[in-house]
Amino acid sequence: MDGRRFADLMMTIFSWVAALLLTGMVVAIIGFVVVRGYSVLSLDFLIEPPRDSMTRGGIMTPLVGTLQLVGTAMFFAIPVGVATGLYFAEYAGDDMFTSILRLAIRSLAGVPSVVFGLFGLSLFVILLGFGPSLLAAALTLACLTLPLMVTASEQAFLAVPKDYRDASYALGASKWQTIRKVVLPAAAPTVITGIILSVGRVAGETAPIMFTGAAFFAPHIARSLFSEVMALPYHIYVLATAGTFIEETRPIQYGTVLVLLLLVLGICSGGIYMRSRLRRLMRR
Amino acid sequence: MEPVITRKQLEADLTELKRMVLRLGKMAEESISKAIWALKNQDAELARMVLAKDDDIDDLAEALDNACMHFAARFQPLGEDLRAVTSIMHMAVDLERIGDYGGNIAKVAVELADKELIKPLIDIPRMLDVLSAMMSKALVAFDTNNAEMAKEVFAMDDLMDDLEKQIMRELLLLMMERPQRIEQATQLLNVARTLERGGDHVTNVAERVIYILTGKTVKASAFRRPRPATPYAHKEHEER
Amino acid sequence: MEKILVSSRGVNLFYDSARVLKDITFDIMEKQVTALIGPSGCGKSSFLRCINRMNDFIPSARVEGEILVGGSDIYAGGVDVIALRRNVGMVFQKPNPFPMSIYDNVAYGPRLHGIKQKDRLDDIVKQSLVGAALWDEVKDKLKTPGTGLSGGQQQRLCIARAIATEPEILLMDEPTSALDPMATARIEELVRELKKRYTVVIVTHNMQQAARISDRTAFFLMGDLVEYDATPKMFTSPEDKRTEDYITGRFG
Ligand SMILES: Nc1ncnc2c1ncn2[C@@H]1O[C@H](COP(=O)(O)OP(=O)(O)OP(=O)(O)O)[C@@H](O)[C@H]1O
Ligand SMILES: [Mg+2]
Repeated sequence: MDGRRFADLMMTIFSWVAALLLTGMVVAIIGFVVVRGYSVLSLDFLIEPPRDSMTRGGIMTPLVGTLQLVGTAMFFAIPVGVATGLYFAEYAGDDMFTSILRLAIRSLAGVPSVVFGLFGLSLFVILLGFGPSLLAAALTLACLTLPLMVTASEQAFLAVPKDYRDASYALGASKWQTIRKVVLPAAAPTVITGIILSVGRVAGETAPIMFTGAAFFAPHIARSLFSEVMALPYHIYVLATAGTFIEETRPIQYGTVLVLLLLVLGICSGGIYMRSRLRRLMRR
Repeated sequence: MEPVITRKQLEADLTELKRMVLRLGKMAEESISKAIWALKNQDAELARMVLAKDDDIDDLAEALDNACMHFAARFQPLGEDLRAVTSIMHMAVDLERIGDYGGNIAKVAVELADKELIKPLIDIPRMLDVLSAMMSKALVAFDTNNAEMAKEVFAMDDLMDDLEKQIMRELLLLMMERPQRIEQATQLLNVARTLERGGDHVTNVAERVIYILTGKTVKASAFRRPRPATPYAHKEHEER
Repeated sequence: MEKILVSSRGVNLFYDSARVLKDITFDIMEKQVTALIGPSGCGKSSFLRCINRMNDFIPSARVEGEILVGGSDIYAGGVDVIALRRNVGMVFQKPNPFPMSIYDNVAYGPRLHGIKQKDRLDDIVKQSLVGAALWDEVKDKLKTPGTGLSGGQQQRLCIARAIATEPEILLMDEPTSALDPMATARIEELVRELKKRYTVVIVTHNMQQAARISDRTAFFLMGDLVEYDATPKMFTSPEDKRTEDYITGRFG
């Protein structure tokens, strides 16, 4: 066996081992959570609010709260993020200003989420006077996800083949017509993937909402943008570290983790499914 | 499609076509020369050899024709290459015809081999000399891509016409003197006519050479001495 | 009966300071196929893109001189570029149907220009597909993606899309270079058919193709128009030595 063949074989083995290890780890984590949390999982667990200092009952309030937070955050983040991506891809020139802007947005993606939390606290909660609220928390989450969204959609628009644009212009379309009728639809699958990945990230964040609107406990689901909300990640954090009866809430903790995990996994796989369907619809 | 790739092969094949043309020309020239010698020297043996070779010439002409078609199919030539291949096809016809003329003359030579000639043949061999010179000039011009040389052929055809007329006058006189000579005189007249036509075919070849090289269709008449428009001269050309 | 439709008068094209077209002057006849040939990079595509002002999208591109279409200069001030592009359709080297249905691909142009009535669109789509010799193959699957067709069909779809705006002129930039011989043959056949109604300007690297389908041929070399003549003349006995060398493949 010559050296090249040997190296090839080693590389193959190495890749397989790495892949197996990673899969094993994911399976182990999920398995651990499922085994521990499975027993408390029931429909009641999902539709009942926490009771008796959170040692009983379900997780209805934090679950709905998370959905509300994600929905509101996306309501703000999607238009701004996609529009900014479009601006960078289609309109921005190649000058200093846009380069700096781009760089700033890229580096924002690397900022720790707790910094976003503090930023949200000072801007939305204090300066704008929203108080700790669904709105303030959602806006903070929106800020957190913007860099990802902008970059993802910019890439998506840039990836639309020049051929489509040429064909559209050659038929007498204006720039906006070309963007609306050709570029946007063609980029949609990729943009949607980016959005869904952001949703997954947003749903699991604790730090940004801790100071801006997540409640330790709320008796009801939030009825206005200005009330505080419970959220799954924060709920877990509370149960595990700050509750009065930490030991007694163990099963509930694992149940909640399992639900959050399923939620995020569900959103992601839903997104991937949707993308592939859209892809198939658009091109082949 | 990058045309460069095929150029080398194309040129090799085109060179082969040219070689075939030159070979055909050589054979045609030989055929007609030997036929005249046979006639002049009353050599029936030589005349039969010429007749025997006629098929070879036809075969080569046909092979050349096929090779041209293959060349066209393979390279789909354009420009000079296209002119060359189409012209070569025409030249093959002209040269083959000259070869046939050799055969025709050889037949006369066989017939006259054991008869007394009514006159010593002087002007007919002279016609042959001119024709041979024309042929070799046309073929060399073709071989060396020399359009100027090809043009020189045209003027030489005038000489052929002169000689033919001279022979005709001479033979007419002989016939008038003694009608028994009419048969042989007519045959010799035909030989002279045949040589003159051979000249026309060589002229065609020369025209083709110029067309290949320049892309221009030239009329040989433009290079010849202006001729009085005798109805006879016209008819002579329409015949073919 | 020959009528000039497009007239290029001293056209120079610059990309920044590089002069890519040099004093191009010639006339393109109505309802004829005009082929542009020449080695790579000699400016054929650039010239083609001058005729529908697609060069406008290249910031560094600058055009000097005049191009008259139907007698008026398309580079004069106040020209309606949208109307121009509607009148001058374009088909590209790589088949590029939009990622949408066959129907929507063809209806794209007419819709842009304000046609909304369903029955009128239906009619235009059908006529265009018939005109592009594609109707019989796709009439039962107009709602399926245009990108699901074969390469040759896609290119005919692009031709249908281009003629749906009822242009006078069709520009084609190496429309068959990405196709197999059968698909190429169909496009060539179609081009001959198209010239009954349209004036076609086609760039091709295939000299035999230019010889087969065009009425006139223009030979470009390093930004110069070297020779422009009737196609049979160009391919049997061109005047210029450089044309001769190019068509016989002595360089290319
Ligand atoms: N957008 C551009 N910016 C700068 N230079 C360009 C641009 N487009 C083309 N050129 C240059 O202009 C010249 C002509 O290009 P063009 O595409 O018109 O050539 P072509 O004849 O169509 O070549 P091909 O046969 O390869 O398509 C080339 O030298 C090319 O490098
Ligand atoms: Mg090009």
